[in-house]
Amino acid sequence: MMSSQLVTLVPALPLLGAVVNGLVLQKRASRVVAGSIASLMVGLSAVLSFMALAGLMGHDAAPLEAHLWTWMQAGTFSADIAFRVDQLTAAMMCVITGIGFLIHVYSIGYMDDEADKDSVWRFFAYLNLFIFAMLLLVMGDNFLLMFVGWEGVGLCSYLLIGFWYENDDFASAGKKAFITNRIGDFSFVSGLFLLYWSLGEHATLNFRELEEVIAAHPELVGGIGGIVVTAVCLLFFGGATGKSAQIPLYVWLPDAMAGPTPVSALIHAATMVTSGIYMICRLNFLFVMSPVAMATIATTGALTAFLAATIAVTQNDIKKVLAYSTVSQLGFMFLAVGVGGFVAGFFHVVTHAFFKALMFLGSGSIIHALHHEQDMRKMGGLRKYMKLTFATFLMGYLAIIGVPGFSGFFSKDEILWLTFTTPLFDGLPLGTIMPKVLWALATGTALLTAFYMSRLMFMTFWGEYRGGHGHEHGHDAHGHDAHAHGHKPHESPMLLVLPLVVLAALSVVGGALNLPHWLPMHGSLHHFLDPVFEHAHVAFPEGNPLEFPLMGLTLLGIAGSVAFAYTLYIKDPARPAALAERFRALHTGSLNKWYVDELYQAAILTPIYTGSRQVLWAIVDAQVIDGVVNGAATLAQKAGTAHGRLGGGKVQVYAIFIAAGAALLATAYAVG
Amino acid sequence: MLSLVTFLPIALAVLVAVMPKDAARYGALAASLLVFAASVPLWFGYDPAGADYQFIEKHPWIEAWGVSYHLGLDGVSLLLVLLTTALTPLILLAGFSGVHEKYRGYAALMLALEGAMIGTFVSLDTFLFYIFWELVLLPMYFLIGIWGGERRIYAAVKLFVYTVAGSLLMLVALIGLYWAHYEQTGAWSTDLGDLLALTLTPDTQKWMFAFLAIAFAIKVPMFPVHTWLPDAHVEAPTGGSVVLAGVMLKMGTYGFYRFAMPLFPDAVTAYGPVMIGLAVIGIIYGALVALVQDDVKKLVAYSSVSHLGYVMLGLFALNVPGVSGGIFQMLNHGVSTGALFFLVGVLYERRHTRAISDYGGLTKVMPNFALIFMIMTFSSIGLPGLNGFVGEFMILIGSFQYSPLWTVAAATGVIFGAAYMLWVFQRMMFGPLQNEANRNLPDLSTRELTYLMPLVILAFALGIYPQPFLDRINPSVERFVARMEEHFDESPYSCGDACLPSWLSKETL
Repeated sequence: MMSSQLVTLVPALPLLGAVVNGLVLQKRASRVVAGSIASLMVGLSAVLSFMALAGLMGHDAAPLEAHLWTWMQAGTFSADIAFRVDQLTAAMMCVITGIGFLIHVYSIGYMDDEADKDSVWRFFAYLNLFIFAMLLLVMGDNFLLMFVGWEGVGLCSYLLIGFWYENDDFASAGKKAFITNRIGDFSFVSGLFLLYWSLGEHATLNFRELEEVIAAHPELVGGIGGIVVTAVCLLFFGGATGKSAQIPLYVWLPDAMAGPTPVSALIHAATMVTSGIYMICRLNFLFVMSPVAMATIATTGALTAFLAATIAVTQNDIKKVLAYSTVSQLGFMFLAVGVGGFVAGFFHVVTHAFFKALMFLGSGSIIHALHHEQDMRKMGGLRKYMKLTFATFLMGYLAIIGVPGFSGFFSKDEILWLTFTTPLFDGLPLGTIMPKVLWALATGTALLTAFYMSRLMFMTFWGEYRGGHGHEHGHDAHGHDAHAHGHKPHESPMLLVLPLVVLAALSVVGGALNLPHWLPMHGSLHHFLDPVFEHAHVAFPEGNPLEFPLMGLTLLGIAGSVAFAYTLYIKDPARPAALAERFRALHTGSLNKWYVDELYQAAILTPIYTGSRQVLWAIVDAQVIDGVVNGAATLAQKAGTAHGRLGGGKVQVYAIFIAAGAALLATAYAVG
Repeated sequence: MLSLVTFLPIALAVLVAVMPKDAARYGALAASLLVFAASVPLWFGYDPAGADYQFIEKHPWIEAWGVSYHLGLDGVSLLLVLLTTALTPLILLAGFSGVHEKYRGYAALMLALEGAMIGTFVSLDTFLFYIFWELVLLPMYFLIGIWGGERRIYAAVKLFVYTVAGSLLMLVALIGLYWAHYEQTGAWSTDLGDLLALTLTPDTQKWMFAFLAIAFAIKVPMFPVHTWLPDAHVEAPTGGSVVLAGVMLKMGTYGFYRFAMPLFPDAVTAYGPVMIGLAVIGIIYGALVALVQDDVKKLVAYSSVSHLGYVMLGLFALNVPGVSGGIFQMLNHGVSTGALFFLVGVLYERRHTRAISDYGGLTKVMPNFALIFMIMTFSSIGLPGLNGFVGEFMILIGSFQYSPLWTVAAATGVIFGAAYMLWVFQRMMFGPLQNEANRNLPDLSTRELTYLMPLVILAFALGIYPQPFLDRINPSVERFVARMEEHFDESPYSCGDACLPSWLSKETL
C-alpha cells in the first residue's frame, strides 16, 4: 500500500524530466543523456503506478487521494488541484507509464538521425510533458483538472506531430490536430456548462461528488432518459470524437502520422486517443442514464470502425494503414462502451495498447532500417532481413485479427458478443434490431481488419525486397545517410528490438487479464473494476445458445479474409491491380479517403475564410462602420480651423469640446 | 498613498522631460520602477477580506459644486493599478531600441499616461474620474501621432473622434446624474457614493446608462464601435500598443464595472441581453476577422476585440464566477496581449515589416523568441495551465447561468481563437526559412528577455495559482453582484429558464 501523497510523484517525475531536459540542459543533453533522463523518470512513475495498482487490488481498498491546492474559486464555483486514484485510474496509469517507458527507451535508439542531434532534447522534453499531461487527465479528481490533461495532451501532440517543423506539411498536420480537437473540446465544455447549470445549488465539478449528487437527485438531469442528461452525454461524446478520432472529427489522426513513429505509437495509438473511452468510463454513471446517447455512441463507433477499415484496405503507407486501423479499433471501443460494456471497452483499450504500440514500433523499426521509407510498395521480403522485427510484428498481427488465444481475440470477441446481446436499447425505436445491425457491422469490420492487416504483412514481410535503389525522399524530407543506398536492410539495434519483444509477449498473453466466462480464472478485470462501475450495471442476458456459433462464424470469416489476402498478395500479385481496375470508383474513393477532407475544406473552411475576409472585414468593417466614422471625422476636421500639421486642428476641436463641457456644467450650476 | 501613486508618475514625467538627453533612458526607467515600488505596498496593505474601498482619501475640492477629491481602491482597481505600474517599466525598457527619436518626450508622455490611467482607476468622484479619463487621451494621441507609423495621423484622428464622441455622451449622462442628485436631495454632489444612493426611474436609468455605455463601449472596444482599435494599434509604436491593449482598453470595462452598471441596475437588467449579444458578436466577429489578416499586428488587434468580448460577457453575467472571471480576464489580456505586441515589436525592429508573409521558419534562427511567442500564443487561446483559461472558463460557466445559448455561441470563440493564433504562428515560425532577409536575424537580446520574462512568469503564475488574485477580486465582486441582484426580480433579464428554448428548460424535464 502506498501513501496518498506519494501518488503526486507519479505525474511530478515526468514533469521534472521535461523541465530538466527542456529548460535546464537543452542542447547540452545528448540523445543518450536526454533519453536516459526521460526514460528514468517515466520508469520511476511506472513503478509507483504499479504499486498504486497493487494497493487497490483488495475489494474494499479505498481510492488514493491527494489534495494539493485550491486552483480557482469564486462564489460557489471552485476547482482544486487534486488527484484521486481509483481502480480505473490506476489501470490507466500503468498503461500510460508502462508502455510509455518502453517507448521512451525505444526512442533513444530511434531518434539517432544526425539532423536531429541538436533538437533531440526537445523531443524527450515533449515526450515527458506528454506523459505528465496524460497522467493529469486520468488522475484529476475533477473535470477541470481532467481538462488540463485533455488539452495538455493535445498540446504535446501538436508539438510532436510538428516536431520536424521545417516541413510545412508536418506543421500543418500538427495544427490540424489541435484545431480539430478544439472543436471537440468546445462540445465537451458546452456539455460541462450544461451539466453544471442543471445541478443548480448542487453544482460541482468533482467526479465523486457528482456521482453522489446524481445518485441522490437523478431528477436534476431529468432522470433516466432525460433530455438534459442526454444532451450532456452527447456533448461529452462530441469531445470524445475529437480526442479519440471518431466520425466526424477523425480526420486529424491519419495526418498526425507526420510525427516521429514513437509518437504515433505512444500518443496516437496506445494512450491519448483512448482518452475519450476513459472519459466515458469515468462518467459511466451519467452515460447509463441516457440510452439515446449510448445508442449514438455505439452507432458512431461501429460506423467509424467500418469506414476507417474501408480506407485502410487501399493505403500504401505502412503508417497510414496502422493509423486507419487505430481509428477503426477505437470505433470498436466506443461500440463496446456504447452497448454498456464499459469493462470490455476498457479491456480493448489495454490489449490494443499492447498490440498497436507493438506494430507501430515495429513499423518504426522497419522505417528506421529503410531510412525513412514508409511505402509498402518499396518493402517486401523483410522477414529474411529483420527476423526479430518480423517475429514480434507477427504477434501483433495475430492479436489484432483475433486469432484465438491472442489478446485481441478475447477483447474483440467480448465486444462482438455484448453488442449482439445488449439490452440497453430495448426501449428505443428499432431498439431490438439495432444490436444485430451493429454486430453485423462490427463483424464485417473484423473481416476487413483481417484482410488489410494480412495485406500489410504480405506486402512488407513476404515476397522479395523491392526497395534499396532509386530512393525517393517524397514523404519525408528528413536527412538520410548516403551510404545506405543499395544495401539490404538489416535488423534494428537492440534498443529498438527489446521493447518490441516485451510488447509482443504482452500481446500474446494480455488476454489473461480478462478471460471469458467459459475459461477458468475468468473476468479478473471485471472483478477489479467493479467498484468503479457500481452505478452502471447493465444486465446482459446469459446462457444464449448463439454465443459459440457466432464466434465460429466470425473466426471462419477471418480465416477467409486471410486466405483471400494470401491469394491476392502472395499467389497472384497481378490481381490487386486488376481488381482495382474493375472496381475503379470504389478503389479511388478508398484510396482518397472518400474525399472527406476535401468535403470539409469546401463546405466549412473555405466559406468561413472567404466570408470573414470578403464580407466581415472588407464590407462590414471597412465600408459600413468606417464609412460612418470617416464621415464624422471629415465633419470634425472641417470644424477645426488649423490643418495639415500634426495635432493642431484636432486638439482645438478637443479644447472646444472640453470647454463646452465645462460650460454645460457651469450652466447647470447657474440654473440650479 | 493613492495620491502618491497617481501623481508621482506625472511629476516624474516633468522631470524626465527636462533631463539631459543621455540620462533620459535610464532616468525614465528608474522613474517607472520607482512608481512600481511605490505601488507595491498597496498589494500588501490591502486587506483581501474587506469588500469596502481601502486607502481612502477624501477632501472637499470645489465645495460650491459638490466636487470632492475622493480616491479609494477595491480589489478590482487594486489589480488594475498594479497592472499599470508593472507594465510601464517594461514598456520603457522596450522603447530603448524601438524609439529612435525624442526618447525623452516619449518617456515623459508614457509616464504622464500612466498617472492619468491610475487616476481613472482610483477616482471615486465622477468629476475627478472624468478629468482623468479625458487626460488619458492626450498622451495617447501624441504617442500615436508623433511616434506612429505611416498612417499615424489617420489613426490618431480616428481614435480621437471615436473617444471624444463617447466622452461627450458620458459628460451629458454625468451632468444628468448631477442634476438628479440635486433634485432629490437639494445638494450638489459628484461623489460616486452619493450618486449610488439615488433612486432613479427605469426610464431615466435607461438613457443615462445608454450614454455611459456607449462611451465605455468605444473604449473597450465592443462591436460595432471597434474600428478605431486596429488602426490605432497598427500605427502606434510598440509601447503605445502595449499600453493601449494592456491597460487603456480596461478603462472601458472598468467603467462598466465601477459606474455604468452599479449606477443603473434597472437599465442593466433591461439592456443586459443587448450587451451580452454585442459581447458575443464581438468575440466571434473579432476572431473571424483576425483569422483573415495579413498584418500580424492587426491580427493581434482584432484578437483584442474578441478577448474583450469575453470580459464584457463575464461582467454582464451578473454572478460571482462570471464577473470575477471577467475581471481576471482583464489582467490576463494585459499580460498575454501585451506580450504579443512586444513580440511583434521585436520583429518589427529587426525587419521593419508586419506582413505575415515576410516571415516563416523563424524558429530556426530565433528559438527563444519562438518559444516565448508560443507560450503567449497558448496563453492567448486559453490553454489550461496558463492564465487565459482561468478567466475564460469562469466567464463562460458564469454566463451560462443566465444565457446558455449565447454562452455556447461565445464558446465557439475557443475554436476560432486556436485557428487564427496557431495559423499565424505556423506561418511565421514554422516551415522552411525561405526569405533570405530572415536568415541572420538575431535571437532575443538580454534586454528583450528582461522585459518579456516577467510576462511569461505571470502567464504561468496566473494560470496555475490564480487564487491570491481571485481572493482580492471576489469580495468586491460579491458586493457588486449583491447590488445588481437587488434589482433582479422584476427584470426581464432574470429569466433563468425562460432564456432557454422550451425544449431545454428545467420545467419540461
